[in-house]
Amino acid sequence: MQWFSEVWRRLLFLFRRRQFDRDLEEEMRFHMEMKAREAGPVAAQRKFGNAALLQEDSREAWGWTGLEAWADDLKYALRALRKNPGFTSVAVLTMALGIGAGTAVFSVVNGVLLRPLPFPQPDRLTMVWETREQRGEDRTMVSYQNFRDWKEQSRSFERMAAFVGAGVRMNVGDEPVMIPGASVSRDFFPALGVQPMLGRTFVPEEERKSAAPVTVLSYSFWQKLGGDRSLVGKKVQFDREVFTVLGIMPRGFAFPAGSEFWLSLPPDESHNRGDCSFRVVARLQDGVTAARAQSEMQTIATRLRQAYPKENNGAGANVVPLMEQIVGEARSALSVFMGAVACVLLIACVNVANLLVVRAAARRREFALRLTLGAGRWRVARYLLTESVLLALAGAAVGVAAARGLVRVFVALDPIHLPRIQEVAVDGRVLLYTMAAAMVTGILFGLAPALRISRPGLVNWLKQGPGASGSGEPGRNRGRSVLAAVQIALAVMLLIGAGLLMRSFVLRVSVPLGFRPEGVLGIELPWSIRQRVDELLERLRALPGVQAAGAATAFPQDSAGSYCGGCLEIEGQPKREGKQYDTGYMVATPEFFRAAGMSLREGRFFTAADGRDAPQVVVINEALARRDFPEQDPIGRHIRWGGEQWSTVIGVAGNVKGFGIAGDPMPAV
Amino acid sequence: MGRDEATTRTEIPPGTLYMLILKSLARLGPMHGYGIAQHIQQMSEILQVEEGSLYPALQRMLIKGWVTAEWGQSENNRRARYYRLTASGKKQLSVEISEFEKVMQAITRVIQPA
Repeated sequence: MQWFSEVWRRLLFLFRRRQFDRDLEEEMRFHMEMKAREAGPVAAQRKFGNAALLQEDSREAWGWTGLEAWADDLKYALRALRKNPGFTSVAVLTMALGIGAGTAVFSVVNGVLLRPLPFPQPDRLTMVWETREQRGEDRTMVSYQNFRDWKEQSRSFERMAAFVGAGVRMNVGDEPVMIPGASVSRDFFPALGVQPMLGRTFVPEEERKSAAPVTVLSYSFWQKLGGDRSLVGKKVQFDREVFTVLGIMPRGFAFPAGSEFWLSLPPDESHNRGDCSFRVVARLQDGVTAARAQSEMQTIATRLRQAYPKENNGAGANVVPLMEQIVGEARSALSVFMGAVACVLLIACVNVANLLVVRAAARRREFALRLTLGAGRWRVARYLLTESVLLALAGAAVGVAAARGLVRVFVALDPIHLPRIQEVAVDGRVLLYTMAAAMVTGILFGLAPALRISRPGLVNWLKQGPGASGSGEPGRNRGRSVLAAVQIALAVMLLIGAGLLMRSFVLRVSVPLGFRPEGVLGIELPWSIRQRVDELLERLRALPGVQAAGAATAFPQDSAGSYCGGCLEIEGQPKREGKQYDTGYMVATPEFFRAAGMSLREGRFFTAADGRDAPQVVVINEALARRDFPEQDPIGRHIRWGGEQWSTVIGVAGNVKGFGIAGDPMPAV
Repeated sequence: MGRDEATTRTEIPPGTLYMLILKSLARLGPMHGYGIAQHIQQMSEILQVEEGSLYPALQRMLIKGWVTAEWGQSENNRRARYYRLTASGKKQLSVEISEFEKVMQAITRVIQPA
């Protein structure tokens, strides 16, 4: 309490400095007059001594003198920098470059790696996957039955929920658009701990298959539909079904990533342990570590493996913290970037340090004079550091402005496909980082000239005058050589690093695509044109220079094709069990394969004769052939999709990177 | 800091200036700086209070909260700053006195012929 009121009085003093000075002056005057009356003015003056010193001593009692001197330094540094705009702007821009690049990359690191996930107690959230020893896979999806057993038998989790991605077509205006979403079991929202912004989420009764269809919408989807609060309780049409809107989730909630709506997932009553198409998210009990949950889940998985040796052959469980799941490999990529940016910052520092050293050499006279006049060496060094920190802060201000723009462009382009990219922004923590970087670099690059200036011997230099300098100081040149060497070393390091990054990038994009993109034009057409697509293609083919023209519901490397786990059935085989992969599927016209330059491995592609009224035929790709027809000839076999008509496999195409498996002739949808 | 004690020279034993100021204020009530110096000189007959240490000391006592200061009329109708003892100043005075007596007795024991 004592010290508190003391600090308070000291602070009060700061704001009443003027008043204080006036008071003290008047008090002194009064004292002098009283004294003069007694001993005569001259004697009084002599006995009183140095009034200015006395005032300064009285002031010092309040403990702010250091700060005031520093404010003077600051004022002087500002003036000195303003007087030398050439130097100042070069230094500030250099620092802006270094700090700006650092800030931009740190914003990304912050948004992706450091910021907690937007859920309450996000460190308690985990994904639970199945593992398959025999295939060396550690994160595969789970069948509903296994999920139910996990949920019932495990004690490590507060809640556990299954979900599966879902997409619906919805008419926005005249155009049908695909909207991504998820079907979720009833514990989904409680497990994540997120409350809806409006309305409510699902209640247990709505989990029943027979319940009226209901949905919860994302904030952005709600906005797209007009953002009217009264939408809650109204009906929306997805595909051919009508759903009642129960609630709207808060802004920014999109789990799994990209979800715009959530449906209630009815429990799977089919007792089919082979249909592995569910992902599982779970919240750990308080005080239970992911490792403990992992060992419990492994025990349960082992038990299930014994109970269902066929379906759960080699199946284990894998508990992955949600953050790790989402961030995954981005961590290493971003670390490389951080390293590169640190290099740039260091180079900028060394550059500015060099500039400062040169400048300090030109100002030796000034500093020698200050030292001679009684300024302490520490005081001069402190002044120089003040100047360089000021430079760094100015650079940081410009750098942050640049970084904001950079981050916006980076988020829009998303060149390396980072998770959580939408959450990246320049926020308080980033600014804190920038401030710290500026302070540290300012001190770092100010240190060299400050040390030099405060070295003894400078005063001698003043005596000798500027003409006498030069050869007598080898130390100075050595210092600058070191700076230059460091600079070159850093630049080379950066160059090599950049080269390596480029190389791995080139390697990554030069993986065989499975089709020849050269000379292929892709055009996205509205769904409504499908009735007239043959006519359109005919006219395209008539154009000079067009070799082939085909249409399909998805494009190679385009992830917008339809995927479905467990939709594919093969005649003569039981409905596949333990299927881990989603099977992709698209519909194509006969010439599509030729136009895209896809290669044929076996059989034939579609011809015009495979049209609407002909028997259904299908081309599968190598991956599917290998997976579902191991060591068999797939040609002539029958498969079907989602319980529709059986189709005959007529050909096997080469794999296309990024896209799934099967193709169908046009009239299949 | 700590320079004030050095500039006091030998006239007032180092560390006792606070006690003398506090005691003066306790005896005569609110006083201005000049009055305090005068009082100490008259009472002690020999002690010389330097302005150079008196005013910084008063500032420190303000910070500590032992005294408060306000402007008032002096005997000769001039504006003067009066220092007034606070409760915590009173407490401090007794602390200083007992400290001082302890030290005095100790010193006496050392220098008295046995």
